[in-house]
Amino acid sequence: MKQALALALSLALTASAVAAPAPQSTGSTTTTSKTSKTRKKASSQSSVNAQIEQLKQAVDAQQQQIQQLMQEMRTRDAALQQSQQQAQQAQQQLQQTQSAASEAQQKADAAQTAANEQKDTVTKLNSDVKDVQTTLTNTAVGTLEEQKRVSGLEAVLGRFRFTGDVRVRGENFFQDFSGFQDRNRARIRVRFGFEGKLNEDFIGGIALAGGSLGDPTTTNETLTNFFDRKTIGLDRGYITYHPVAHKWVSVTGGKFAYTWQRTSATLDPDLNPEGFSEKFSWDLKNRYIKNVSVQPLQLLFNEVTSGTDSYAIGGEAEAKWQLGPWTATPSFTYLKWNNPSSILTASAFAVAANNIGFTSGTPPTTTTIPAPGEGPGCAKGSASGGTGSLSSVPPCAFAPNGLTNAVFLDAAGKPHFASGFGYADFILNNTFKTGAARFPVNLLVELLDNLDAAAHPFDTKGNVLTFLGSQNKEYGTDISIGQTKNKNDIQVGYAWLRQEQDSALSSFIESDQRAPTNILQNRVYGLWKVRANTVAAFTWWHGRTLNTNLQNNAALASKSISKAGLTEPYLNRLQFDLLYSF
Amino acid sequence: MMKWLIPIFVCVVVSSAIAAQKTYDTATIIDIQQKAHTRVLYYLVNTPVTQDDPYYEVSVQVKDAVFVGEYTPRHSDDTLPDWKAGDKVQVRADKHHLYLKTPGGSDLDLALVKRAPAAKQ
Repeated sequence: MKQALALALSLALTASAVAAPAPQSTGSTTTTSKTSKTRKKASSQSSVNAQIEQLKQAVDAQQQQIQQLMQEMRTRDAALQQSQQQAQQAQQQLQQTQSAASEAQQKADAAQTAANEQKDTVTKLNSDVKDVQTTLTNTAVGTLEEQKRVSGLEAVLGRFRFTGDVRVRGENFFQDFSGFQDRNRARIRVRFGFEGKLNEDFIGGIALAGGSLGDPTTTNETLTNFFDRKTIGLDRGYITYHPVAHKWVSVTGGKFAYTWQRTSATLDPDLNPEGFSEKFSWDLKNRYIKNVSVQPLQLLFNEVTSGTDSYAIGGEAEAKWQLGPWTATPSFTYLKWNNPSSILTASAFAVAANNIGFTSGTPPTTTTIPAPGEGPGCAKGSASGGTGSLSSVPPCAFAPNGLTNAVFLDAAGKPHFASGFGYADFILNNTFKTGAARFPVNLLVELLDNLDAAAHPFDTKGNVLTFLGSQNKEYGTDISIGQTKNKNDIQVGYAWLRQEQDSALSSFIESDQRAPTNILQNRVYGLWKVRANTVAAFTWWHGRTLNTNLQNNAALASKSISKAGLTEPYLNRLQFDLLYSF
Repeated sequence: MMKWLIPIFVCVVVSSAIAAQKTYDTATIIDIQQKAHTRVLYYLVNTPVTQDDPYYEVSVQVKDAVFVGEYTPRHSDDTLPDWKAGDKVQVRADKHHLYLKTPGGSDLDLALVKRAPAAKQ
């Protein structure tokens, strides 16, 4: 546009210059004629002036036109600039808009991306939540199953109760006679078992214990034999039928703990009898009598393939009464031992013999061969008649703690007890409450009468002592104060026992007293429950043979007296125990 | 023959299923006592060394009857829920058992030792 305006202006100026006379050619004509020239000069001056004036006017007009054109140009420039500015602004706005749009697009993209990411996140979260839900569900199901399993296991384990104890004992023997050597030994007793409810009506139990297999009266093992391992045997195995519907019935069969009241004067506390027991017990609502029970017993102690089996049959009647602070449990037991003589011809296995052999010749002589039995082996003893002594090799007498009953040999040389054994055992067990709950007074009295005992005993040479009556009684009492129920409970007591020769079978009686029978025994004891499951105990056994004139008395056997009839010095036996039970 | 046996069989199964359903009654706990059975662990000659085995005796009243059950814990941590006299509890009883529903929803199996009419007020 500007170029076009500049071209138009140039053309206008050129045309004006051509239309006006050139001043050089007017000067050359002046030299020929001065007057005319002057006139001419005056007229031409006015003409020139007119022309100049015209030219001026034309120039002015042109200038005006130029001015106008320039004005227009300016106006147009201004308009152009304005348009350009507007265009620039528009451009800027466009750019801004584009930028904004781009930014918006970016934001939109970012938002989309974010949205996508969020969507992914949400999806992932949903997935995670589902996983968590699944995991929780699985965990919950697993936990429930585990709870069921644990409950089931607890229910199964809850049916069982583990029992057992470990006892460590230090023991010393002292007796005042020449030739006696003090004896010191350490022993352990280990017992372990469990009892379980087979179902609602039946209970079963198994227990293992250490100790010689040939001695049912103790489960002790002396710490000796060059660190050899100790023997473990089946100590109990039984089933008891005690129906929920008839709780007054309790029938037990197998090898079991005592189900009736007895003392160590008849059966050692470590012994577990074999056979059957049927207890019928009724709780009463009487003011004084709280319970009564009767209990038939069948104890089987020797079965043979042919011949007569050996067993004990009897029963017990028991009651429990309460009169104020006095609670008493009186009982009467009758136990008839059939064919007890089998005890005198026990097998090598039964006595865990460490010697075997045979007898031959006339007069008979015994050849002895060492055997790897753990003992106690054959019980030594004399017998009335025949050879005057019992066999030193199996079959022989089974009496782990010494045979102290009267024995004779029949015409065939077979040993028999002089007495039969039918225990009539009366026990009264009393507890008197005192002002201190932890210190009740306990009093036990016992009278045992062997109703089948021989009328007279034998002397040491096997002769009948007609001036002596039946050696069939046992009297005993045990008084103590305290209890061993809770931690730090203490119980101290004293027991006295006078047990005649044939009051009971010597094979099964208390193993720690001076001898099984024919003894006068004192015992002082104390127990302290150190912990709920641990007891420390001390026992002092102080006893002697009751009548040293009788056959198979312990004093002569141990040579604590030089001849029959002398009073045996007391044997002192001290026991220090630590017991852990569970 | 079969057309008779099938309905009979179905009736027997359905009635057995209905009979097997455990129905509970709402009972009120009257009393809870912790007692102990004294058990002889072993003898020192004739002297028994004993241990007390704790158990709970729970009395509940259902309508006009009072039931007394014994619960013997299986171990030292096994205790009764936090029940006290006056609490309501869901129970069911059979011939020799008393089942108390615990807050956890499981059944607590008590040996039913006594069943007597409730004392009239």
